[in-house]
Amino acid sequence: MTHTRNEIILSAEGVGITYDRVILRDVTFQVHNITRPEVYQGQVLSLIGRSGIGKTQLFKILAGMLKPTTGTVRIGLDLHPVQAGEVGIVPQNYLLFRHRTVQQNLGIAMERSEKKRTEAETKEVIKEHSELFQLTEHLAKYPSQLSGGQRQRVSILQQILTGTKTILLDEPFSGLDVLMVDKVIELLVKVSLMDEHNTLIIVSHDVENALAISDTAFILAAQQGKPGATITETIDLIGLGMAWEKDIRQNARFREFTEQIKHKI
Amino acid sequence: MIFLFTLLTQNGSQLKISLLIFGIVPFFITSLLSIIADIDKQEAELCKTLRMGPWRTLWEVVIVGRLDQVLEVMRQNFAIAWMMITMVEGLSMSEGGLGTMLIKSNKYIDMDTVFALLIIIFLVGLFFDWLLGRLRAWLFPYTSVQTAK
Repeated sequence: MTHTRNEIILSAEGVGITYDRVILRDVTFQVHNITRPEVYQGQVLSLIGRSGIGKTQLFKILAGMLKPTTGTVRIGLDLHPVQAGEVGIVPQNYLLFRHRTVQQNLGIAMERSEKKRTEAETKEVIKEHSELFQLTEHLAKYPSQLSGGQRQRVSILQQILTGTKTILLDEPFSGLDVLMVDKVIELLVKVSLMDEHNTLIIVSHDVENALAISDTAFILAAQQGKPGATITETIDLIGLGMAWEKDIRQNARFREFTEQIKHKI
Repeated sequence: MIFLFTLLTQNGSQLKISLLIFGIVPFFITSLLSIIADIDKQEAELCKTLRMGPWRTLWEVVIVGRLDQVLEVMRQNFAIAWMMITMVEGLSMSEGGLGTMLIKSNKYIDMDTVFALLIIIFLVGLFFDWLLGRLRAWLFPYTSVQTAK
């Protein structure tokens, strides 16, 4: 598969966090802007690790919400240290402002985006995007009236509308049935195709689905004899010929590979 | 305590109101604090990802986001205050009122009036509760919308 790994757009350098014990140690990885001829698309990465390994801590550090004990996270073409608000977060419970309608929840996301818009333009952008996300008929509803899948879509769209290019998704497949997982994967691919610099980072323990959608995956696990978790393996799914394939989960080689990875986390 | 409040206030009406407020404030403050304590930290994180400053976050999450619950606390506190009114009016009988009537009627074993007063207190209480409930549904429609399954 022809592709080029260009400039680094996100980099974690020696990130570690210690409370009463070491949680994360020397987490180092880079995210490159991947380009393919004639395909306009962003990047999808996964951080795979078992529950309780420190995924949430790393998630918060990457989003600039938590200051690591050691190391830094850099972002953007100039690789400046990340600050809260530069990375979008889609939490596991798809949190939204419950006192605002879907339309208002999306509008509030655009209030502080770099691109200034008039009220009419804001409405137009929301209209266009809600069609793409199948939310048009739900715009007047409150979050409590939405199903889990609809709330997840609003939550993702809310982060996109802030103008953030890097979006972290915490366990986006958890609690969803098989059909819904397919829909979420489809949606995430759609988001990655919206902009060349869109970078989705999926933090999950669901090896199969995370690998199925990613071009690169990082395994977060503990190493024998050493405290805390770190990146133990980087998987280049493009190199393995397993990226950007719609029906990859049916592929026997992919299934076998997934099983191998499951044993490593 | 009554003596102190009598000294501090200018007339019977003020005394009643001061006693009621004094009785309600501890319940009200602790309920409000528990609403704030129950706020999910993630809501502040959501505000950060939407690039809101600390004041906007406070406004969105703590003030506007919790107004419906504040009204609900006020509704509950009103119910407590309504129950206390007979006691307060009994303590400060110079101004009259339902409580004063109730205590006087009770003293002279005028049970017809006692029951009538109890029914009136009960019905007026129910009416105010219904009224506040309607106000809540009107001001904060998201509290009464049907929740998706």
